[in-house]
Amino acid sequence: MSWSKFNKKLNDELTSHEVPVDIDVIWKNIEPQVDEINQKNKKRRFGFYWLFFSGLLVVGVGLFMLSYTMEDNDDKTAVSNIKDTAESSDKTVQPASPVLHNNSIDLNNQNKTEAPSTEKLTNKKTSTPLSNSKKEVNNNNNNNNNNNNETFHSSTSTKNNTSTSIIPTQNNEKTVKRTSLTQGLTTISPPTQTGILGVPKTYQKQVTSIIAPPKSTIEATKKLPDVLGNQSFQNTLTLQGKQNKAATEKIEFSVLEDLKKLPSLTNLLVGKTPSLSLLPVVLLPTRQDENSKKEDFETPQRPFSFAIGLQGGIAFPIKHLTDAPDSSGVARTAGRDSLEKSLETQCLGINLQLQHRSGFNFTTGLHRTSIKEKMEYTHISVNEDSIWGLQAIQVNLNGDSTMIYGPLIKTSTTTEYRKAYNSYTLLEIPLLLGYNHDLGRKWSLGVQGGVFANLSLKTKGFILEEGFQNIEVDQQNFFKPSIGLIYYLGASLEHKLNSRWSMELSPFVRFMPSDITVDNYPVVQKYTLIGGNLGLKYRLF
Amino acid sequence: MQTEKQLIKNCQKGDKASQYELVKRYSGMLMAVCRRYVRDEQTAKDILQDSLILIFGNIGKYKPIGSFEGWMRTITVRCALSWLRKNSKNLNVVDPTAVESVISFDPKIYGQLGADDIMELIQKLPVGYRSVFNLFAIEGYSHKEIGEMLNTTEGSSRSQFSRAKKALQKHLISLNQVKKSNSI
Repeated sequence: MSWSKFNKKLNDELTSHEVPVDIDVIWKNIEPQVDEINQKNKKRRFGFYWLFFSGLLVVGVGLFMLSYTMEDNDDKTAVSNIKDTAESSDKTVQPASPVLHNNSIDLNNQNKTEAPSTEKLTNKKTSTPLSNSKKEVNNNNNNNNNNNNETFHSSTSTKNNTSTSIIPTQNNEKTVKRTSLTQGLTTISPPTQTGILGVPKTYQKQVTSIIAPPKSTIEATKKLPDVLGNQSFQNTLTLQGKQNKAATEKIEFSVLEDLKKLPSLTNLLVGKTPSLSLLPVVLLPTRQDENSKKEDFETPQRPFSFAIGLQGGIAFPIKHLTDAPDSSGVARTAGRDSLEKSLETQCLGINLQLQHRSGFNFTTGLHRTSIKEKMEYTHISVNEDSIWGLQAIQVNLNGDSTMIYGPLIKTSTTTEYRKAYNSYTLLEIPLLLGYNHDLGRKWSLGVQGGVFANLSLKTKGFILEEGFQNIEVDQQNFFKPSIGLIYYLGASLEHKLNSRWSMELSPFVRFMPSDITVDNYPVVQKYTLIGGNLGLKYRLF
Repeated sequence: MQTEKQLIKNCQKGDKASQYELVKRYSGMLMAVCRRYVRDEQTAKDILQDSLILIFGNIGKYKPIGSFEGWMRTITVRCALSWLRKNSKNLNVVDPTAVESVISFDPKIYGQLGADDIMELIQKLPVGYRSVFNLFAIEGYSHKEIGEMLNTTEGSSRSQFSRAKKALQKHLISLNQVKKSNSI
């Protein structure tokens, strides 16, 4: 009868076959281990959620800081520029401190009190070319020419969304109002990449957004010396009432000579009204003086900066194999120790870094570390098989011989030289605190310390089991699914490529305090990694 | 009563009631698998317990691609083989006493056999034959896979299976004779 029918019978009978078992006894025996598994899974889930939410929190805080510092910086720059402008005129005209209301400036020309920030400006900038800059606003004609409700504007007709006007307030105060000044960035031609008046680019937008005239008013670009040599523009900006043409406002400048000293300002726009109307911001060169040396490598003075980085590198693992305290795995430990050789370790990661301007920083992200090992050993296997052959020859008294055939045992020994490559892959979240110290404009040196929270440990390859039998590790539960925290200590040498990008070299030492094998495995396996990462970092803000 | 899908989901969450339900529902089937590989009932129970712990430890990784029963059966088989590797030195040894003859299975003989009888027959096989026989004839692994699982060659697996069949036939005949004599 054919085997296939018998095989079918076997499958029919055995597939659904059940052997009665005392469920309660089985459950009672496995319950403590099941509880342990549940607790481990719960911890892992909790750990994952904790890390996820902490990461989310860091990103959230980063974004908040970004929006906060950007808003703050915009306001501060605008106020600062305009304040500086007004302050510069304090000594002669004594306009009141300008107050910014939704991008407008109130210049109280009636108020003759000295602006409180003048002293600060003078003290701070005594060495700058414009330290003695003054802007005179001639108010003498105001009382005669303007009505209380008169609106003044510069004699340049502001057709677009940019306007400069003097608006007398009800108590005869005049307001210079600037609104939506966003044009003209390209119309001023600074000689270098640093931006208008040599101010670093980061300020350029904000500055030009305040001072630049609309394109429609631009008629020509003239060399500064030409402009300054023209008497009609000399030291005075005339503002004219929009409706009452007779109402004029003259602003005198004594800073033009100082302007000549500015190496970065070679061209100036000239419109129907000279672009010297932009001169209310001529104090900006004081910023240039502060910042020009720092050029593009300057980090804006925000409280926090946020950077994202990609890094990779190699490390050399120092492996620690010892016997578990209550085990007798001496032979196995010695065997594994002699046969397994550590190869290189690959590290790859994405970093998110939040840095305070003081230099202290917090880094998190996601890292993958792969520890490679090689195991070489000699495998000896003995196989016994039976072959049909001559078992005996019987010879009787007559001398006749009889051959007796039957199964003979044949033993074969195979010796194989085997080589196996093992890998231990760790997925980790770094939680590092550090400090960066600037070494000049382009370089900085830092230290970092903290932990790498291990999310998972995956193993692949073979290790020796008792009796020198190789065992596939990914089918055995010899290793923990995750190993908790890994200590990290590192340094970093950073080279700034420009204001955003930087390159970083970070040597490090990482130490695993906990065993990567399960508790009931007789060998304790730990690693110390010494290596270095090379990475690129991009500062988002 | 929970569906299999719900049961798996709850076990993945670590719900103890569901874990108990899983043990209750599948222990009989898994015990049958264990008994096919080891003769001793207590050892089979130990393997079953180890398998269940492995199942609960790895149930989070289970993906509903194949059948859940098949997945559990695979774990149990591997557990049983692991135990055999550790405790049986003659897993790959060929029984030289195996009968060399043409194999024929008479339906008159095996037609009356129930699952328990077949189990008894399989358990009578030497450990090496039994493992290969179970893996090939019942679990459906190829000889190549069996060779890898038992750390032996594909040819050795074929050879052992062939001998297992012969030995099984021999036991089948003797079982039939016993039954006949009992009926007389």
